[in-house]
This record gives sequence, structure tokens and C-alpha cells, in this order.
Amino acid sequence: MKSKFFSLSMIAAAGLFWGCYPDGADYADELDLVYTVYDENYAFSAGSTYSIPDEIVKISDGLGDDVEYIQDLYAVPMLNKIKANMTALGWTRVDADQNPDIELLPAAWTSTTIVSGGYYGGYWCYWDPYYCGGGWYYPYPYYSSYTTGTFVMFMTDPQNLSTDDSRKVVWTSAINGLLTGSYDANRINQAIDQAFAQSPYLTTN
Amino acid sequence: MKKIISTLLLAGALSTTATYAQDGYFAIEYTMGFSSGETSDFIESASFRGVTLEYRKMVTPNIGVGADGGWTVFYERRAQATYVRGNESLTGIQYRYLNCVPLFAAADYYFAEEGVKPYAGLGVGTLYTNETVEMGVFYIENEAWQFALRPEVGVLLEASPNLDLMVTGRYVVGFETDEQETQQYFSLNVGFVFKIW
Repeated sequence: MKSKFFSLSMIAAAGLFWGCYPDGADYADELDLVYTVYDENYAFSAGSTYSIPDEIVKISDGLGDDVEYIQDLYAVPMLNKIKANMTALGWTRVDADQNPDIELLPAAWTSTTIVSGGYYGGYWCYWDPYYCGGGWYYPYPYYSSYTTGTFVMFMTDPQNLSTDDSRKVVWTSAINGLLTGSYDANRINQAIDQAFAQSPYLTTN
Repeated sequence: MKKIISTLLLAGALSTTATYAQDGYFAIEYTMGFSSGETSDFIESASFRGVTLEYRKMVTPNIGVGADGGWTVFYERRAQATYVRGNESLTGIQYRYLNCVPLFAAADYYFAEEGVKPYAGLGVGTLYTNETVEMGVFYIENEAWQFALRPEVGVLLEASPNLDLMVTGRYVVGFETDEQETQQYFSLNVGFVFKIW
């Protein structure tokens, strides 16, 4: 009798313990990340002008002949936010054909990841059949997926061309987050601000 | 929880009264963890998610030897912050987890044989740690097995001839390896001791 009570107490403890396991983020915006990296040998402070396109290219499965762009409804506020940050750092926007010191190129893409798992049946039992019953299981395998969006900004140096005419990237920012069904302008604006805030070396003289 | 406690108390009460020497005991404990040292640098928050199981065989009326093992989960949500490494910066909310599974061969000395039984003991064994940092939809995981020691002081309180209540404090130290720096935490445990006659 005593050993069965002891076994029961262990099962109960295991169940309680598993039920209390911490499970991380509750909201999509808690998964937002802002990453930046820069070329330590590039003198940002020596520059003063930049160019930026009027549209944001959308990357899906690589760039084909038909380039897609993000709808203006979403792109314009994002571009305005970028320009405001650049102005605050002392940069002046010029057209691409006016020999800017740097080019700022924004792009975005999405990626969907599918996960699956679950138990295919069978009750969870203790070794003694006496304790079988109840238990929990998934009657069917379950599937889930999540889609992340990544918004990148590249700063390139148009004066520094490689032999194949590629421009050298001197600053990269990648903003990654979990996409939800609705567009949250505040969320992307905060992330853009953060990308510049954590890059104080972009300041010009 | 009340039901479990009632069940466990009933288990002790229903058992027959013994009049011969105790052979040993099994114990199940609720474990709270308080990090220190390098572990505290990783996660400062206390853990209230833990369990310990132990077995002791009494080799003399005052000395018990056996084994114990447990599982303590430390968890902390770090507010949004920027982490800088060289020319890279990463901003986000971090979710940190540290799963500690200590496994020890142990010996205890009991300063009394009945009633209130204070005791002291030492465990020698291993500490398995699984450390995870989640940021965004990405995570970094590091796991290690470390040589570990565990000094302990506690007290057993006789609740019935077959059941004691236990309160004990342990200091678990897992020594540095190539995979993991030294891990250490204090644990406070309360539990039920099922005597074996």
C-alpha cells in the first residue's frame, strides 16, 4: 500500500512540475529582433549625403525578372521613418545620380516555417497497469507554422566598387519578427528607430 | 496540491507501526533554487520549479548512505536590451532557461535517532545543465555534465512511525568544464520521507 502511495506521489509531482514549466513569449512583438553590423574601417563621419529609393523591394525566392515592391501604404511610412532617422544623424538626402556618399537600400521578405509533432496514440502509463487510465495524448499528429518577416537595410559605398562592379556594404540592419495577421506600424517604426539608435557611429560631422 | 498532501499524510497514517530498526527511506521533495556565482550572472531569479527524489539506506542508526537526484528549472525574462559584440549589435527580449539535474551518491549523519533528527551530509556526483537563451524565434543551447559536490544540512521531523517531514538546505556546485563554467545554487527543500522498516 505504502509503495503505491509513494508511486502516486511521484507521478503527481512529475505532472505538477511539467505543468509549471515556463514557456517564454506571450505576444508576437516580444519576439522582435534588431540586428546591426558595420564596417569598422569605413569613416561614416566623413560622409554627408545619401540616396534611398522611393520603394522597398520585396524578396521572395530570390530576385527574378519581375521585381515586386511592398505596397506604398506600408512602404511610405517606413521610408519616411528611415529618412527621419538619417536626417537626425546629420545626413542629407540626394538623388542617386547626384553622387551620394552612401546608398541606403531597404528590402523585405517573409519566410514560413512548418513544425510538426505530437504523439500518435497510446496512453501515458506508469509501469503498473493499475495506474493507467486518464493520461493524456494527442489523438492526431498536430501541425503548426509560423511566418517571420525580415526587413533589411543595407548601406553601400558607391565609390568602393569591386571588380565585378558590386558595391561594398558598410552597414547592415536586419529587423526580424513574427508576422501576425494585421500590420502594426508602431511595431516596425520602433524597430527602425532601434536600428539607428544602436548605430551611433552613423552620425556625420 | 491539498489532495496530494492529504494523500501522502494518509499513506503514513495507514501504515503499520514498526518496532524494529529503520532500514532506510525514500523521500520526495519540493525544491526551490537560489542561484549564486556564475549561475546568478546568467539567471538571478529564484526557481520555484523543482523536485528531488532520494533514497537512503541506514548502515548504522545514525548514518545513511544512498543516492538522490533532482530537477530544478531556473527561468528569467530579460527586458529588451542591446547586446554588443565587436561591430555587431543585437536588440531584443531574452528568455533564459537553465535546467539543472543533479545526481549524487550521498552519505548523511543523523544527530538523533527519533523525534526531531537534525543531520548533515555530503553528495558527490554530477550536475547536468541545459542552458538555453531564446531571442526572437532563434535560440542558443548549451548542455554539459559537470563533476559536482553537494553539502547539505537538514532536519527530519517525525510525523508518524512511517512518515517524516523533511526540511533541508543544499549547496550544489558543478565544477567548470570545457562546455560550461562553474554552476552553483542553493536549494531549499521540503518534503515527505517514507521510512522503510
